[in-house]
Amino acid sequence: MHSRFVQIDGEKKILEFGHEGVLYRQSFVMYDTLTDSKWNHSTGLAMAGKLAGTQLELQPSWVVRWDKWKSMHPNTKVLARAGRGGFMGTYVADQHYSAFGLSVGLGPQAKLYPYDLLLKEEIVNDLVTPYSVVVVIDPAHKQAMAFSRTVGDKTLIFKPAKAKASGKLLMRDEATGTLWDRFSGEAIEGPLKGKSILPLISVPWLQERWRQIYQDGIIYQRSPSPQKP
Amino acid sequence: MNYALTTKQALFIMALGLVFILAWSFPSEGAPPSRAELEKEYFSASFRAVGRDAFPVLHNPLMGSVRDGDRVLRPNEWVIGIAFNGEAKAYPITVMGFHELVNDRVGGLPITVCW
Repeated sequence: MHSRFVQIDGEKKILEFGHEGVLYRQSFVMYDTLTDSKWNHSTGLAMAGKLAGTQLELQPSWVVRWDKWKSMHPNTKVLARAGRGGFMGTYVADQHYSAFGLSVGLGPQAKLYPYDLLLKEEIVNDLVTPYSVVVVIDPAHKQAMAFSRTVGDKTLIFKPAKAKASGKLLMRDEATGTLWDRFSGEAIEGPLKGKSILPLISVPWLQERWRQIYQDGIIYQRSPSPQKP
Repeated sequence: MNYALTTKQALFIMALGLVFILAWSFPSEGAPPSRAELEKEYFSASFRAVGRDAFPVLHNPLMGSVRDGDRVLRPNEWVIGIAFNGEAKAYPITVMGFHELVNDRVGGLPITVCW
């Protein structure tokens, strides 16, 4: 999800977006009411008009089940009273997960992690320039998330942990043995308890559409992290 | 002395050559595309699918509590969750499929949510 702050001629402005009704490489286009520039909604890049070339700053977001989200944020607000439906409204990853991948990062460095592969590996330690990333999935519910795996000056390597704490799915870092919540990124037990890893920009995408937007993008194939002897 | 290369050596040299060719031809990080290039790409790969604002875009929509959410959402229903500056908001995918775009604020930050 994108921040609506932009700099225009050295001034900070807040944009309001509307729906252009145009599809660019199968992805809908938004316009801003201030300059009528055309924006790719999925990358946050203005493609045409006065602001062409401007990149909206992305904010990390989670795409997870409602029960998961409210357990992570018990005081969350929710957009409950609104219209429902539409093609993409039914097209969610836990029913159609093979068609989806988790897109991590932005621009030429963005990388797609197909859900099928994530389900096989559960936790992937990888690199999406400039970040060392860990991509996690909850196999039961097919929800995925990405974090930076750099804490202070250490780069951690995560492995799935069998232990569960009050329904939380956990992982363990090899260097310190700390147990971490896979979805909030918080260290809950061990030497790094109290620390958290930084959530990264990650969005579930239909793989076929991702390929059209990121034509030179890298699609993850298998874990490059060296296996221990 | 025999100066002929073994098959292994020949293959190794060919592989080395290939690596160099690939390394040279691989595009390096260049300048970001110009507005003209972006617009050319945009207009060549887009088409009008529906009228402008055919999808009812939401602006600062009224949000409910967890109790309100529980009344209309199944536990396994997917939401886009955003947490910033101590505030958390959830946008159900079924709602986003209908409206596609929301202009809102989370923790004071103006954001757009799209699906």
